[in-house]
Amino acid sequence: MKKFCMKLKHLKIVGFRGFNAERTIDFHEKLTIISAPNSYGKTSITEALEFVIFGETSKVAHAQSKEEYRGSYRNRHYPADRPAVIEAIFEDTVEGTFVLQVELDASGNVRRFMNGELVTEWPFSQKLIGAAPPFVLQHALKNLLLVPPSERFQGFARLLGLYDVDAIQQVLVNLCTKPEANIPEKVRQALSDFRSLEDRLSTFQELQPIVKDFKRGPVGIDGAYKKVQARAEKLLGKKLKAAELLSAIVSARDESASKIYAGTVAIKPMSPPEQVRLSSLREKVLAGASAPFLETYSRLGARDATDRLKQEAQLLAIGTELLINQPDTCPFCGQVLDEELRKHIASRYEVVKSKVGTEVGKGDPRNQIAQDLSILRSSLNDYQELLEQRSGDLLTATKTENENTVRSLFGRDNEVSWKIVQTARTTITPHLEALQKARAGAEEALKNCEAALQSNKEDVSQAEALGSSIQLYMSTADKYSSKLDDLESLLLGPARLLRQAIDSTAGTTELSTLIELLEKKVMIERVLRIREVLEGLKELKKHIDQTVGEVMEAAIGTDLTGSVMSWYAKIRTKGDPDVHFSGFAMERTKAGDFKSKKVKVGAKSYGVELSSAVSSLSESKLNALGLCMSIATALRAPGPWEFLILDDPIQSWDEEHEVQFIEVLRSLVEKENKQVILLSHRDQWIDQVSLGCRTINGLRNRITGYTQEGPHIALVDWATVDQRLREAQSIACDPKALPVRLQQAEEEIRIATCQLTAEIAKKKLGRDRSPHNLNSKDVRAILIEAKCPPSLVDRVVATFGTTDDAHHAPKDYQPSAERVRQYHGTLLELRKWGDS
Amino acid sequence: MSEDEKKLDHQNYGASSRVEEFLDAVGKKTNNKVHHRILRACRHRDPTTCVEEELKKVIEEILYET
Repeated sequence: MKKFCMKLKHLKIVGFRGFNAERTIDFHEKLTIISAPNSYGKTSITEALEFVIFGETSKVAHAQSKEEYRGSYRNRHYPADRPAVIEAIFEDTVEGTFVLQVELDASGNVRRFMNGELVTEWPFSQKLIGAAPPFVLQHALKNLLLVPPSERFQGFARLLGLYDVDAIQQVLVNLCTKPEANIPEKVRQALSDFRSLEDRLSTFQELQPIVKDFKRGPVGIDGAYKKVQARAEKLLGKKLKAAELLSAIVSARDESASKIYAGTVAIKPMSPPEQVRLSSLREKVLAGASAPFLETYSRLGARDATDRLKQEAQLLAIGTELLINQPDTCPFCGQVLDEELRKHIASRYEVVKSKVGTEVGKGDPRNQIAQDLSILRSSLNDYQELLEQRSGDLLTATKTENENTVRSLFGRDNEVSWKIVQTARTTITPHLEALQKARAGAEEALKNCEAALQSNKEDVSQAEALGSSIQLYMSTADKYSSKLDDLESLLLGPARLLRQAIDSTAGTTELSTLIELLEKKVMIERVLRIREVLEGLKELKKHIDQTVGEVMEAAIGTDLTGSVMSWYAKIRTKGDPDVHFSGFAMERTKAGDFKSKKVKVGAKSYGVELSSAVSSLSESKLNALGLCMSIATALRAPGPWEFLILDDPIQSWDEEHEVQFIEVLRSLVEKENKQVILLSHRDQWIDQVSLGCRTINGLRNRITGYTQEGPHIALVDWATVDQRLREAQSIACDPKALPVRLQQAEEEIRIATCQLTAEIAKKKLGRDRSPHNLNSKDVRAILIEAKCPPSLVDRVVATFGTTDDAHHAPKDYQPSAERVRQYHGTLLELRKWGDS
Repeated sequence: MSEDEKKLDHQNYGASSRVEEFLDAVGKKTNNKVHHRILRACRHRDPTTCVEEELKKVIEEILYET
């Protein structure tokens, strides 16, 4: 990946945000100031740069409702058929000059160009990941400090380039805190049923130790079931083997309960062995309708003809053998045989032999078919029985002779459950009747086949009827089973209520609970394991919170706090009350663990720790703190840029602090080598900034007005000609002035020369020339055209002699106070001539 | 997610070194095999979907264990 170290040179904006008509802004390599009253388009400049680099503005990125910002990037007065354009020219120390251009059409489509070539992303886009944005913005500061600690964490994570850690932490924590959202419905139901079972166990003092064992998770299961056995043996008053435990308890329970009511209203669930058996029976039944079976059956009739052929072949074989000795007489009837008849006998024998050949060696399949039909009937009976028994309890409970008993057991409070039972019966009855009818149809077809088999009158139609009846039976059975599955869960509640009512009346509640424990042992063991997994996620969340706390504390701890403190110290004044920011930390519990993603901003008042800087510091100090944080993080996690944009940093500060902040700007430019772009609505303060940064000699733009066209931007002088000449003279007259100061004095002279020349061009030629774009040739041409005396022109242009157009001094350059004094005199002369 | 999509996801997603370090640090704090499975899944697949899938898989393995 190429290394990028971009400085901003030039920006063109048209049709974007507050900019309708095309506007351009040049940027100084060190410090550019843009001043304007509020709402004159300053922030549109910042947003244009955000949009170029990131594809969206931070205001939109952090907006609660993106809908409100839809279509807000384009200027409302800009023609819809033209794309809004932002063009930024960057100077890169390695890559040289390059142009990034973004076009935004009225439909919101964005096209990016680099040096005129369409690109899908910027070549430095990978470097944006993890980099702190180069924008210090008021709303970003508010988002960072004046928000709840958890949101502050996210702001810090973004600012420190830890967004990916924050994102994965969120994903994992969501999983750990709401795992139920990700588990199958069957498991959810099983967990709920188990909780309900635990509640019921807890109602029996003697069974409470079992609940305690379950609370231990899968390791407690053995202990729990030993206690179940012990309790059952005590209740039944005898020692029991584990294998006979369940049946013994069921017998005891049913014996007592049968005095009240012996049945249930549940659809009988299929146990795993029953499911295996049902599946095996289904295969056997379907074999009765399979093509090979039916084909074999259909061929039984044809089989009889084969048998007759075999007998004929045997007869012909004997006759042919006997004819060898008496070829002229029939060995069976004594008739005289002529040649023609002998040939006919020989020919018939060959034909019959060849027809019989393929069938020779095969036994009679009738016995096998009879056996298969018998298996089919038995399978059908078993299959039917298994299916019918599922709904047997429900139908029995709703029979006239039981109806009153069952209904009264439900009681008036559970009338709804009784209605569910009745509806279930009404639903299943037609399906059961259809099943029984289909079974009768299959039986009839089966009997027809058996009768035909006995009388050797099998034919295809019987086989077809059998196949169809079995297919019909199976499809009816599937519908019936499916309906039962639907009703099974629906009737669980009523069945449980009925069981409770019976147990309550019969005094068998505890026995039933033990039975449930034993019947559901496998599922309980699985539920405990699943519960252990889900419980374990809480522990995982704790580890994640601790780790993210460590990562964040490492990021915000000593280094960032120290860095923010050092910037904050530059803004502090001697008269400030000693109530200040004291550092960042992750909030911790009393036990010393990190609180989940909570960043604490500390503060101290005369050495005493305050609860939080956010609640304790004044708005101006919080604003200062936010600025320092943004600056510190921008320096800590740099992106592929050297510039830093400060958008209206001064808010609710007094004059003393405003002046202090100028030191921050100088440090950024001179010590951190940042290209600073400062936007402010405070013109008076901007004057102080340009004065305080006199020697930086940056560029100063002033937005002088705003119309439908957009802002009117004018480039203004960093310092007046008088200021520059005074500066140059004071340096030249200072005997202790170092070479670097003398070199700076020459630079002041050259800038003053350009400014004076631009004034002369305006006054004498009526031409607007920007002093910032003039070089020695331009100066000479303007002065000659303005009819300046040639000797003065030569001396003025000589002020450029010790530097080239790029302001680079030659290798043998030696600064000289005398030369500065001479240049100073020349410029005074030029001004005098210009004023004449 | 189809098998093809999973493959694509696997090819496209790679945890950053910072995320890898984070997952390592969490992993060192626990001996729980399920935790390690979930953390491992985050390394090669998009975590927004894979952590849920991995948990479902763990649960279904228990539920349908023969």
